[in-house]
This record gives sequence, structure tokens and C-alpha cells, in this order.
Amino acid sequence: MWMYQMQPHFFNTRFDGTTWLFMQTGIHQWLLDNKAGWVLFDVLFYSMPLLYLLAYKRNIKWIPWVAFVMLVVNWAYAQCYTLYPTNSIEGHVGWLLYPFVLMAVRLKSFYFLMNAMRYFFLFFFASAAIWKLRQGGAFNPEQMSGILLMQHKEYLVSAPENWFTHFIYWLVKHQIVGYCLYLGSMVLELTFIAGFFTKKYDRLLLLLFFAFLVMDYFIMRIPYFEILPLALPLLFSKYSAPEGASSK
Amino acid sequence: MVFLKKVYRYNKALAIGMLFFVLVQLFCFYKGGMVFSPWYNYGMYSEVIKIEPHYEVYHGGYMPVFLRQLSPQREDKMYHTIHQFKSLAMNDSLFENEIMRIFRKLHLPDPKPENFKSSISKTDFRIWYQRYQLNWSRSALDLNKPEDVDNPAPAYWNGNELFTPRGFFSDSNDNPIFFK
Repeated sequence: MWMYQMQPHFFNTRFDGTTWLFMQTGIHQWLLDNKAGWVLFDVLFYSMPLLYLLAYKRNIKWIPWVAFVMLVVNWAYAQCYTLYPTNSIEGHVGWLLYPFVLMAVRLKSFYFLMNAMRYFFLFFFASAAIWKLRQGGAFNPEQMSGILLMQHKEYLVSAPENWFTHFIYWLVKHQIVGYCLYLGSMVLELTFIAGFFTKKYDRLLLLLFFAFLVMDYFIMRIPYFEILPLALPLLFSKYSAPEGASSK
Repeated sequence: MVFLKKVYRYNKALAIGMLFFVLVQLFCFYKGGMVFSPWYNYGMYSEVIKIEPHYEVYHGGYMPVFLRQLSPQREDKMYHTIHQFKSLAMNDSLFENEIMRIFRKLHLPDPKPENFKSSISKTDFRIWYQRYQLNWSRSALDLNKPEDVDNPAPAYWNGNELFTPRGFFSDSNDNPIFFK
């Protein structure tokens, strides 16, 4: 994710009220064909964690302010970046939300915000399963075959002899296998509902999450690794709420 | 709810902030239409998708032989860019039919069209795309038919494979086309 690699030349508008307000600033327009602007944005975006670390080491009282600057920079960067031809903004939601967690000065505030992120991550997956039931994809036996053809059409016609092409055609033609894969992914997503009731299976959920990312990359050729930070709270779930109001 | 109660006992403002986030997220989820960053809907191919008798495919003027060597990220850069360019007309209709209407309904100042409409010509796009592609493709691209970049061709599904008309990815003798 580098602006200077993308070299934005045009943008697409999306159906997002907040984005429309942001677009009124014209920042995304200013970045079009603006090499200095791309480098400036990349430097700002990638230097934020270092700036935060510096504030943490020097004076912890600066943390909320640095995290606020990070919030503004991340928002401007993610909004612009996803208006240009790349993947959707949903995958970058971690960049938009983590600065709120990093604003915490007290350990207990950090604990609660991390747990809130955990619930958000669980919702992220569980809602994807509910959408499949609500929109009807889960009840369409040719769903996966349709998805695979739509997703890989260019690859299939341009590399007809490739092993991956044969593999995809095999899945498309064996609709039951493809449908089971689709239902399997939906069940995997539904499993995340368990996390709302207990933290006991968080390690398992983490493994399922990695399996989902790998399968998404291998079968769908979708690199969805931007959402990896969202899973971080699952690693923290073994800690209980700190007592008192410690500031560090 | 137990979690929110704990947060409320610790810090009321924090709990109210979290409750607000949850309520807006649930509202967006329930309505299922327009979203408001950072409240999105995570459908992930949830709408019914059937096998179509034919699809529109692009080759972006790229040498087909290299396609299988592209990483998913690069493949995305190649095709998604073309698809996004082809959907620019939707920007205009979104601006005229929705954005203007909603801004006026909310009594906000009229949005500037140039901030919502991206106007580039086909020629402009083709020149930029070739230069853009050169930054990450493995070989120099030398198109003799620049219109190939964004002109789609039909790919038909015959129940066994997708096939394109002769002359799109191959010449009249069925040999792959190399754009050199």
C-alpha cells in the first residue's frame, strides 16, 4: 500500500456519506498526478507509528494527541487510497479504528478499547455470514460457480492451459463441491458468534481467520491481508481487566 | 451488554461512545444501503450470483503469456484499474441522482462537481495505463492497437470452459497474440 506506486490519475465515487463529505475537501483531486503529494502522503502515513513510539518513550501524555494526528492522517490516506483503483475501503477499516485504541493513556482504557475492537472483529465475520443468509447467496447452489467465473474470467480465458485454470473449471463444473466450499466459509464466519459469549476459543478463531485469509488468497486470488491487524485483540484475550487506574 | 456495563462503570463517556458506534453499525447493517465510514457492511459475495451465458473480459493489452505469472495484487492492478475506468460513467449518475439530492435535502452547500466526477478521455487513460503498467510488468509493453486496453470482448460459457472469439487472445491461426 503505497500511494507513489499507485500513481493515481482518476478516482471513483462510492456510496458512502462520510466519503462524500471528505471529497468536498478536494484532497483526492489534489493528489492526481502529483508526485510530491504521493511521497508526502506515504511519508506521513508510514511515519505515524514511529511518531507514536517516540511519544510513548518520551512523554506518555503526548500519546492522545499523536494518536489523534494518526487518526486524521490514516483517514485521509485510506479515503484517498481507496477512491483510486484499488481494493475496497472495508479492508482498511483497521487503519481507521486503531488510532482510537492508541489514544488510551491508562492501561484500563486500553484494555476496554482492545476488547471493543475484539467485538468489532467478531461482528465483521459474523455479519458476513448473516449477509449470505439475508441476501440469498447461501441458498443458491450455483453460487460458488458463478463467483469463480466472475472473479477469474480474465485469468481463465488468457491462461487456458494453466493448472489453476483447470482447478477453477473443475470447481465450477462440480457445483456441489463449490457450494460446499461456500457454505463452509459461511459456517466458518458464523463460528465467530461464539466469541461474543466466551473468550475460550479465541485461539481457534484466530486459526480459522488465518485459514480464511489463505483460502481467500489461494482460491479467490484476493489478498485480504489488510484486515490482519483486526485480529490482534484475539491475542490479548488471555489478559483480564487491570485493577486500579494505572497510567502506564 | 455486560461488557458495556463494565465500561460504563469505569468511564461513562467511553461507554456512550462505544454504544453510539454499535448503534450506528447496527443501523447500517439493518438498512443495508448507503454506508458511513467507518460503518460498513461486510457482504463478501452474499448476493445471489448465477453462472452467466457470457462475460465481458479485458486483456489490457497485456501479453497473455505473462498473466499466469502475475501475483493476485498485480492482476488486480491490471484489471481492476480497467474496470474502474469503465465504471466512471456511474460517477456522473451517482453525483447527479444521489449526491446532489442528498446534499440539498440536508441543506448542505451544493457539492462541487469536479470533486465527484473524474473526467478523463479514453486516449488519456490509454496513455496513462501503458505508462502505469510499465512500472510493475516484467516486460515493456508496445501496443500496436491501443484501443485493446479497455475494449472488452465477450467470453462465452459453454458448460465446460470460457472461450473468446478468435482474434482476441489469439490470431486467426489460434496462436497467442503478442503485442509487439
